[in-house]
Amino acid sequence: MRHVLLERHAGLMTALCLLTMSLGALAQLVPLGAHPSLASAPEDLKPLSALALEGQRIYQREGCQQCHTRMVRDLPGDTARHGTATTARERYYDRPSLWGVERWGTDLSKLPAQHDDAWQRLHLNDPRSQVPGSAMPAYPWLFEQALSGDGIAARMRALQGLGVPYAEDEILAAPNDVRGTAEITALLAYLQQAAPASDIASRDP
Amino acid sequence: MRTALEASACHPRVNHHHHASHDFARMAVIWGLLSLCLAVWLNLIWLWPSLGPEVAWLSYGRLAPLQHHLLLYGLGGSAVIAGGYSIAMHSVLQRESRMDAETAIPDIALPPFTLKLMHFTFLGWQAVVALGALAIVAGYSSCQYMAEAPWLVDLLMTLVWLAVAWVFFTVLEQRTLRRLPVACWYFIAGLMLVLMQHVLISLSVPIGLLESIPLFTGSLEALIQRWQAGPLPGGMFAFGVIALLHHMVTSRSRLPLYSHRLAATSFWMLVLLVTWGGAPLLFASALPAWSQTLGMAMGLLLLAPGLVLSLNGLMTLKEDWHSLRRDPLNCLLAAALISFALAVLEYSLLSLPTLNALTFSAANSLSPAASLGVVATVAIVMSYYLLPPMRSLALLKTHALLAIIGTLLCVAASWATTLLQGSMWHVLADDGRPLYTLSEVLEVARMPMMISLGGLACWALGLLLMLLNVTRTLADQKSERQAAHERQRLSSGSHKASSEPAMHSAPPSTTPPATSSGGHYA
Repeated sequence: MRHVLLERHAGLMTALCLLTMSLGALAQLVPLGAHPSLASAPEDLKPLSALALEGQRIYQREGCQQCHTRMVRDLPGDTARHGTATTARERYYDRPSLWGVERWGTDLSKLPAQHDDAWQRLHLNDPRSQVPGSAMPAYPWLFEQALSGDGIAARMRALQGLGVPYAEDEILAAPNDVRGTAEITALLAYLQQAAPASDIASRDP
Repeated sequence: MRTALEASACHPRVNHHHHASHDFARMAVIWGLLSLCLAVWLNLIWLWPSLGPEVAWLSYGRLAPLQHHLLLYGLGGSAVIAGGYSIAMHSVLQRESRMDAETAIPDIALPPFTLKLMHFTFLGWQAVVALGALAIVAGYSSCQYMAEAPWLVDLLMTLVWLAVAWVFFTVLEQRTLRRLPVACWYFIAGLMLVLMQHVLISLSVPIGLLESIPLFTGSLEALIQRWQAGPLPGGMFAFGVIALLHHMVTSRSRLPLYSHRLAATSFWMLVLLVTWGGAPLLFASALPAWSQTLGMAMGLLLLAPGLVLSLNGLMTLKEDWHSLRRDPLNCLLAAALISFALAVLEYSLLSLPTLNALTFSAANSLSPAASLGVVATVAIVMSYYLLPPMRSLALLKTHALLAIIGTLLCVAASWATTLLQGSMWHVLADDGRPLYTLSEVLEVARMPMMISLGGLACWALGLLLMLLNVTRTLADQKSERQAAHERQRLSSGSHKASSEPAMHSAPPSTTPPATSSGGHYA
């Protein structure tokens, strides 16, 4: 055993560590990046609208992913409650991926069909008025604050640079489109946009 | 290559490294206490939501990532960096000088630039923790699991890590031991892991000073995020924490490692397997099946080096098993080694699809065996080791007891929640509908959350005692130093003035600190 050689040379040890570690990284990340499901954007997938993009920012700002997942897993308990499992294609534009790790509340990839927009607003304003015993915090400030539309163009342009197909006029119109809208509207637009229209129709009672 | 004795003879002044390491240790305790207080508060407002004020920056979603951030980066990170310096400086000591081995940070001469960098790492790291915390509370979290700081803070963090690597390798250059100790291997591997994981997860396109958009997308980004939560949380710290464990088990207890061969084997296996982690956290998700399967196979393999590492440490401590009764820090080290085995076992079991299906449908996905049991425990032992011997052994013993009980309570509560909720989640009635509603599934967590509240309260109380003990010890040390200084000034100065006025300002003559021992409580 010539391990002594490594133990005597910090540089050699460092190099070999880096090499060994990159094995795992390369073997997983490179094929995943080059995988057909990720190599090119699905054609029927629309990127988030300006309003929904602002909604995603609010979702991130309030840390919703701490308690909610946005990933219906291919398991009986998940599909029985939330319909079909989420696919990698649906999540192609996720930056960052807000799939979540823990479930202290429901999965949010598809808002439940039995509750309408008005219910969602009442619930976010005071969760315990709709679901007694719910542990969710109330978010009254989402109703009071309005979007300024300031950062949205820069955000869309950055996404465009990364390959998200936003049209030029879409970006130019974005600040005016969202300005003055209540934050709650943007958040709900994000959560609703996440569900493909065909899927919502099929789950209507 | 100058020897340590020659080197310290040139610089017989105050030990600069002591100051830096004391600062790191003190800040680690403060961040840890803040984090645990937050954890208690979060647990309370989950149990009784009406307690929580309806203020945006105090809401659950912002405080929860803050709690992770303070625990991993504040407590864990500070201890890992200071511990790394301690590891490197120990390799400068000669093997024969057992007396010096007692100090966590021996006094060795360093080039002025390296000393400056060392101070930069302290200030820089505290800035990383504080700025990251402010950004998260203000709503600018990057939302990447366990790496929530915004891009500007990530950049500063990269600079700090580069400086840490510079200091570490500069000190290592002066070593008198030809062969690197095991702790050194782990720290080197830890630095490389930070380099890879931190840089990969931080690659993003900035928009404005605080917000950015990650470079990678979809499943790829999800997998890179889950790396951070590898076998030990804050995956990038995993090796740093293991390095600290080895360092303290061997140098603090002055015992040779039970088996060098086992250490080498488990080291290389861990290095090989650590970057495969992450996929078990994405079971049955949109990640391609081959990637999940591969990750799970590697997750199962991880069990071997994990258990070997833990056993090797415990067998080393067994040489002086009685010290566990006298020395609370050895006791905590043993607890950390056992927690490490538990954390690895848990992670490997998650690689089994049936168990994994239970776990990630539930509230607690990974138990705090890794975060509290290993990272936080090792960080507090390291902090005690870096600081001068504590004034009150009773307080120290109480803290150790509280930490161990707290960890056990939290882990038990987490496992109970996971198994109860996971098993209820997948039960379907005959018509294919779920048997239990979401509220029923969540309600089950109430009892375990009460238990975990008790556990977290134990931890917070323990850290409060530690802060008290540390503050009093350092104040004592300071007044002793002042008194010694005063005496020296009086004896060297003119003898015409009587010592009467000076005696007023100095406390009644205390003996100067006998040794600067890094904390032997035996």
